[in-house]
Amino acid sequence: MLLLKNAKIFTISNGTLERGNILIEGKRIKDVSAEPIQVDENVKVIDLNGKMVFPSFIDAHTHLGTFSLEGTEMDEDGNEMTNSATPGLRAIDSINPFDPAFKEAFESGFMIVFTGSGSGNVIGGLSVIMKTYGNLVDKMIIRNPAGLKCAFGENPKRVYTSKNQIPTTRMGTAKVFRETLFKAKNYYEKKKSGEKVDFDLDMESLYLVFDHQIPLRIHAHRADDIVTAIRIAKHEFGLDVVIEHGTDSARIKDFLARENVPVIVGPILDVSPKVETKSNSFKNPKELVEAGVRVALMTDHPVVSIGYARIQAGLVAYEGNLGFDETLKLITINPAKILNIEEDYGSIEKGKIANLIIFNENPFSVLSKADTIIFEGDVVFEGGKHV
Amino acid sequence: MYKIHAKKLFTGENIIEDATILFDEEKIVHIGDDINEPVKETYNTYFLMPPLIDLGSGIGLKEESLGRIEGDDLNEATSPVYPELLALDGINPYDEAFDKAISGGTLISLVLPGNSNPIGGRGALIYNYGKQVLDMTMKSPFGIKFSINTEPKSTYAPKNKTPSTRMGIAYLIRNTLYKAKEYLKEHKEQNLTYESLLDLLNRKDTAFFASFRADDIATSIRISEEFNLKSVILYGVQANLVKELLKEKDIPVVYGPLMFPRWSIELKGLSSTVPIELVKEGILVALTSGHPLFPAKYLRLNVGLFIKEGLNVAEALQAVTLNPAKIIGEENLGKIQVNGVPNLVAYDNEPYDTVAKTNFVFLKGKRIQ
Repeated sequence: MLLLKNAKIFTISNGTLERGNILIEGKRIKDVSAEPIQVDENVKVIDLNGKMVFPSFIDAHTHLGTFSLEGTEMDEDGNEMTNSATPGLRAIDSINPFDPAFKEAFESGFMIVFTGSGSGNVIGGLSVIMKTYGNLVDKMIIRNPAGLKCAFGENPKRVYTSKNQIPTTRMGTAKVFRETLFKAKNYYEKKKSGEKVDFDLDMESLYLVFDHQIPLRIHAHRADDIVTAIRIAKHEFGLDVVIEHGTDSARIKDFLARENVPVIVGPILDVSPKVETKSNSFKNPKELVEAGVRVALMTDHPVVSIGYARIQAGLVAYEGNLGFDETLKLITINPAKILNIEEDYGSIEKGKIANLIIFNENPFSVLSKADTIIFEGDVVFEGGKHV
Repeated sequence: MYKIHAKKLFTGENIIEDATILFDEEKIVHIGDDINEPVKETYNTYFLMPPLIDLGSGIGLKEESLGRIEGDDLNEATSPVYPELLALDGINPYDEAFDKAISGGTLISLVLPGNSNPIGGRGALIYNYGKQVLDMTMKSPFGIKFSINTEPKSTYAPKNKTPSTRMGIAYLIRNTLYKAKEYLKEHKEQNLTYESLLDLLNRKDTAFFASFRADDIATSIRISEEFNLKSVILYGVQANLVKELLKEKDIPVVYGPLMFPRWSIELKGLSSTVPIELVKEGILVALTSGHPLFPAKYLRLNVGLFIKEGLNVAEALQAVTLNPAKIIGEENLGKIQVNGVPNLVAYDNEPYDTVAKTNFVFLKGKRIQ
């Protein structure tokens, strides 16, 4: 057991305790209280003297380990751009846990990330939710698969135009997407009813989507692409959809709120590299939040390096005027809910996994460094260094 | 006449607390205690400093929110030796990035062509403000871009054209400079390529060598020495590994872009501790956004990374003001001083942190933001 006392605790779900205490037993939080917690003398006690404690930050959309940092061409494993629909691919088979980005993510407080394939294909492959601490990807997985990556807009068009294959237009992207879903619907209905089907690895991935075990995670920047994605996936096929990037989503915020489709916004700390990213602005998250859209923030690492994710969040809070507490939700409880892992992660609550990060200063400041990191109940980082 | 009270004034050299500054459209007339002088307008701010200077930017050349044909004029990657290209001819003043840059305090850019060509062309020193490039220009052509890194290889190897190796890159640069030297001596028939290199050979212009790896930096310095060039290393990711050489040859480094993800193995070592190591060695160091690699608007945040690693605030701020100004031989642009040009940027908080916003920006005594 471990007791953290005299901490400023950002519980996220139950406000902030100016002087609070957290008791940890094994991997989990046993108690969180503004009142002193009495423990035996054999319990390790850390007096935090007013330092700030946060739950692990969560980056809801990255390419950690698939597009490697400091890699060569041979380390680029995020886009299998040989076929525009590749649902049978699994990101777990590309992820290199020795990519230095994992260490950077962990040390900056992001102990949990969603990671997967790129947006070169209309249907990319299965993504995972994983921890950033560890050596073996299989041991780091929290959920696999956790979503099926799809992409609308410029990227698949650009990739397949260069190969003179479909899609070269937005209509073409929709056709590839819709056609694959028709096939999958047929496969799902047959298999679900007990009828014999010829095994198809690609269709097996979509089986999970039709069975509502995982959502489609659809990359879309422009408002019309977002609407197309929702029209086809949700209205025509009744599937669960999460919109990725949503750079232009503020324009259709009321529609998104009404449809109850979450948007994972970002990367924002970047120039607008494409026509479809023109609306990129730190003001977008606030607009969406105020319209009642479920929002999380992404770095799209390595597009924005995950080591600078807290700086990006800071600009959402201050330049974008969303404020500190609301912005904090975009990297904790909101992604936990969207990723459907809130039972274990996303806030400091009794029963949740004890992934805690402790700061001396505002974590959204450029100058901030994690002071202490508690991972699954163990102090693994203390005084700015690994224990 | 205008007056600004600043809680903190960074002059380019040091920070003065509670300072008042008076200026008109021509020059700064007073810095120090408040004085009783009739003024048109009075402003208050937390932090006042000279504008950020971003050397080695592609702003206006590779435009935001546009495609390859419509907005990307960074690399004329059709021939590897093109000193006669002028960045000024490619800059679009209506690139959205200019307004954004000003709103972040980055008011001055040295725009250089991209990295595809071993000799990429000549740059332009501009204000990030104006309706057409002549309004914006301070010096053009200024700076010649050389590229000794993997980009020329990846550009020309697929075309089965030299350079496909580092030796090939050095060969093309050396061969061109030898011919330009000969041209300088013998006055052959007019040739725009060699003509464009004469200022450089006469040490009236500066070579910007885009190099990341330590061995490429050393090659840049080797070639620079062979032709007695005035040189600057741009990017310089692994410059710490050859800091003694840089110090000995007195070559400044424009480091960065610090907050760019280390996409390739060539960027291994990119870290805010490297430029600090160079500063401690006594090397003149500036920071670049490398726009559009990292938005010019947020160059200010890179300064914060320096401070986080222990550099003092004034020295850290010099890396985006006084030091780049010295590197381009325009020291005054990096200072707030009496009789100096009234280029001023005001923030409501520490300029290097996320919480700060610009209060106002003055360009030559005129409020533009």
